[in-house]
Formats: sequence, C-alpha cells, structure tokens
Amino acid sequence: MITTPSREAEDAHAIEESLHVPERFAVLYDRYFPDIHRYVAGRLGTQTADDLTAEVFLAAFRGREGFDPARGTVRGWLYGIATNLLARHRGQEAHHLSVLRRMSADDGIDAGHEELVAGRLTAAGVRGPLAEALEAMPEADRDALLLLALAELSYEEIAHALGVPTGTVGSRLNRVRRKLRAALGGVNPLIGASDG
Amino acid sequence: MDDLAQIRALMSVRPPTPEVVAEGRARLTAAFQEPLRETVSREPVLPEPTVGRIRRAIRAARWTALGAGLLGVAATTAVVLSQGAPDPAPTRSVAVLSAKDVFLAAANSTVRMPTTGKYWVRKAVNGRRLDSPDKRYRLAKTTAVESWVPRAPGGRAWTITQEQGTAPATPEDEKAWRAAGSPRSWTYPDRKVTLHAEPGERQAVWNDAGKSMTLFDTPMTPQALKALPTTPEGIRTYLEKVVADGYGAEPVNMNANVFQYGTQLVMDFPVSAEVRAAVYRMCAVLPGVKSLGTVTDPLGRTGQAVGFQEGAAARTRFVLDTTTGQPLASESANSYRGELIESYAAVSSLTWTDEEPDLPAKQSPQDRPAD
Repeated sequence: MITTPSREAEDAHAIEESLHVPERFAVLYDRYFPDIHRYVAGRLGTQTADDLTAEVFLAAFRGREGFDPARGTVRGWLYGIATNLLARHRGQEAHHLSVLRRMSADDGIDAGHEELVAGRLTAAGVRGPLAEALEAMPEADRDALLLLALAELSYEEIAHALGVPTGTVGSRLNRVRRKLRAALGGVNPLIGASDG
Repeated sequence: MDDLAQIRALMSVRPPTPEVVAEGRARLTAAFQEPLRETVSREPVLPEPTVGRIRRAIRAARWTALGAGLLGVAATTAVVLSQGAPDPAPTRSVAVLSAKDVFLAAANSTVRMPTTGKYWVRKAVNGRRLDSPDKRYRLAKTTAVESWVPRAPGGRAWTITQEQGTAPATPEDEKAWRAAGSPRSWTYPDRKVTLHAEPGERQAVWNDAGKSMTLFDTPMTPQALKALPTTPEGIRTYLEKVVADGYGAEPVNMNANVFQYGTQLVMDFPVSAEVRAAVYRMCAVLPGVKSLGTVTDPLGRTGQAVGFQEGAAARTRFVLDTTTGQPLASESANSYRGELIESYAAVSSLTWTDEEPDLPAKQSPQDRPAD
C-alpha cells in the first residue's frame, strides 16, 4: 500500500536532507515564498517585503540545523523567523500602518470614480479605525493577531512561531479580538445597500 | 466581514512579481555553497544588509503600480459640473423601457468603431460633489481628463488633465456660501487637500513604461483588448475572472460585479463594436438590472439610465445612448463617514486615432513609485 506523506512530514524531511544536500531546501522556498511574502508585505509594504522575504529564507537556510520537528511545523518555524526579522522593522511597520490609516482618511476627494463606484471607498470607513487599532496595540498582541489573520496559522503554529505556550496564544487572541471588535463596532461603513 | 477578513482586506497586497521571486531564489542558491555553521541555534541567523542593486531591480519590476497610477490620474482629474446632480432617482419618461430592452436596443444599434490608429484616446469629465469643510453647503468640483495610450509597445502614454475649479453646487448652496463669506478656496485639514475656485493649468503626465490602464487591476493592453471575447457568455466568464482576481478570497456578489466591471469596460476602454454588444447582451439577461428611465447626463446629453438592485452597484447608474450604443456616463452616490459623496465620469469620446495629443507646456514624468 502506498501512503502519501503529509506536507508537514515532507517539509521536515526536506530540511533534514538539506543538511547534506543544500539544494533540497529550494523546495521550501518555492512552496512558501508567496505566503511569507504576503504576510511580510501586509505588515511592512511590498517594497520592504521584496527584500525581507528573501532574507527570511536565507536566515532559515543558515539556521536549518536548529529546526526541530518535535516542536512544530516548518511552516510555523518560517513564520517565526519572519516575525523575528519583522521585529527589527517596527518603525517601518508603524509607518506602514499610518500610511494605511491616512490612505483611508484622505479619500472622498481625490479617490477615483471607479473606487467610489466599486464601494471600496465605503469599506475604507472601517479601515482607518482598524489601522489605528493595529497601531495602538502591544507588539506581542499584533504579532499573534496577524499570524492568525494574514498567515492563517493554527494556535499551535502561532505558539511555535512566537515561542510561547499555546494557552497563552489562545487567551491573548481572545482578548485582542474582543477589543478589536469593540473598536470596529462603532463604525457603520455602509449606508444604503450592502455589498455582496 | 469579520475582524480577520477586515484585516486581510486592509493589508491585502499583490503577489510578488516573478522577478522578486527569482531574485530571492538566486540569493538562496548562492548560499547553498556555504558550509554548515558550527553552532546550532534556535534563533534565526541575522540577515545581511540589504543590497541597493536588488532594491533597484525590484523597483523596475513594479509595473502594476504604474498601471494603477495611470488610471488613478485619469480618474481623479475632472470639467464643469452640470446642474444635474447624479440623483439616484431620475426623471422618468412616459414610456419606460425595461433594462433588458435598453441593453438589447443598445447592442443592436452599436455602431462600428475604428479599430486602427496610433493611439486610443479617451476624453472625459470627472465630477464630484461633497460637503464644504464647514459642512454648511455642497461643493461641486470638476476635472477634464484626456488619456492617450499608444498602440505600439514601449510608446509614450499621456494623461492630460485640467482642474475646472470648484464652486457651490446649487443656487441654494451658493446662498450659504455667500453667508459664509464667499471663500475662494476650501481646505480639508484631515484630508490634507485644498480645493480652489479658479481653474487650474492644463498639465500632462507621461509614462514610458509601456504599461496600460487596468480594469480592477487587470492590465488592459491593446493585445488584451483585441483578445476580449465577443459573446455574452464569453464576456461573463472573462469578467468573473477579473473580479475573482481582484477580490482574491473575499466573497463577492458576482452579478453586481460583472455589471459593474462590464459597464466600466465599455466606458473606459476602446473595445470593438462586437465586444460592446456582447457586454450589453450579457447585461440584458443579468438578474438585478433595472431601468431608471430617460435621463440627462452630466454633459447635458439624453440617454437611458440603468442600475443594479443590490451590492455596491446599487449606488450607481449607467447612462447609455440606445440609438448609437455609446456609453455616456457613470454616476454614483456614496456615503463616506456619514457624508454623501456624489461622483460621475462622463465620456465625451473613446476611440482609436492617428492624431497626436495637443500637449500643454507643463509636463512631467509619471515615475513616482507607489508605496
């Protein structure tokens, strides 16, 4: 009987093999570059992410001996490295969030007709407060929240990525999402017809 | 949308370009030659400083931003606001055609358009009505915009705009404006924008990147326009892909969106008569389209207005001339943070031509990267 190895096992195997055959690491690059890029670009902007995502894989490759499959998945480990590298760009992240907030606030005069028509502008009504809330929250909360929202990691993977117990992740996320929903609850972005 | 979906929407980005992926892969491949490190560490190894060359390479590869920027310029630049506000409740003629009849009549009378020429040219007027900064009256702002896009790859594209000035929107607004001291400019501190009563200079922005305007982030190159399907079913499939690519995983009302982007396709791009007829035939059988009767568009032309019953499209009406098949205007009313913002784009011509643009003295390159 032929069994298909799980993706997790395949990933871990690729790391193990890459200790002797470095080229084997490329499969992880091809598999996860777009996901990691989306996460980094969402937090720092595309321009910074273009470089930084490549650095994540370089750092992962150079530190591949430190990966322990008993602790979690390769995916969670990669996001952990990305989050560590992101931490040196807190200034850039704050800047990016303030750009997102201002972009949301500026609209209404110079926004394109098409944006208005498509209703993307009205959605912007909620984006200003959302960017503001993300700016204001503690970094540890933001890391966990964005690993959940952007990277769509499980609680276990987030715990592995951040090096904290799973229970801590659960309580941290419950608290921060409750606060976030309260902050957004006061905004009514759509008046009239609802967007599909 | 729940909070997580809102975060994803706020922070959504375009996927990395193939050049960025290739550059990163080359850096990784170079590292394959390195010997294994002595120390085993759970902590990631520190990254090397960023290389300027790579940044420049990446910047050169950013082309969707340019395309979007070009459209942005076209869309934000506007002429004289007519007295006819983009009112979602239009004046109805005695005999109101059904939306289906409107679209089929327009499809059947679509006049053949030239498909050869050095440039395609779109001339339009964009208008906006919004509250004055003190919220005591309504202002009307208009901009004339001409877009010249060369057929030849690598040719120079021009966007020529002229602010037509801002004024109180109606006679009543004018009274309130006088009571407020008849200001000649209006500053919105939170938006960092100032509007002026005086018309602006005619100015041109050029772009040599050989890129084209986009339909919801899908580049509409001359080749892409030529390859558009000419059947209603084909157009629907095509637009569904544009919408799905644009929204990503976000759930959307597909009928509302194919109406929205179908009408935008014929409004903004020099599509062939066959494609235009196919878009109209697709719209004719779309559940949710409704006729809004005979109306006068912002440029004073008579046309038939159609709308859509739900989704973001419900705040828009599309005006077309059923006797020629010409799209005339798209008008919308939106609420933004409690304020009503009315906007329109009225197209005066949309064609291929061998003429050259009449360029103003003030010209600048469109080279500022977004971000």
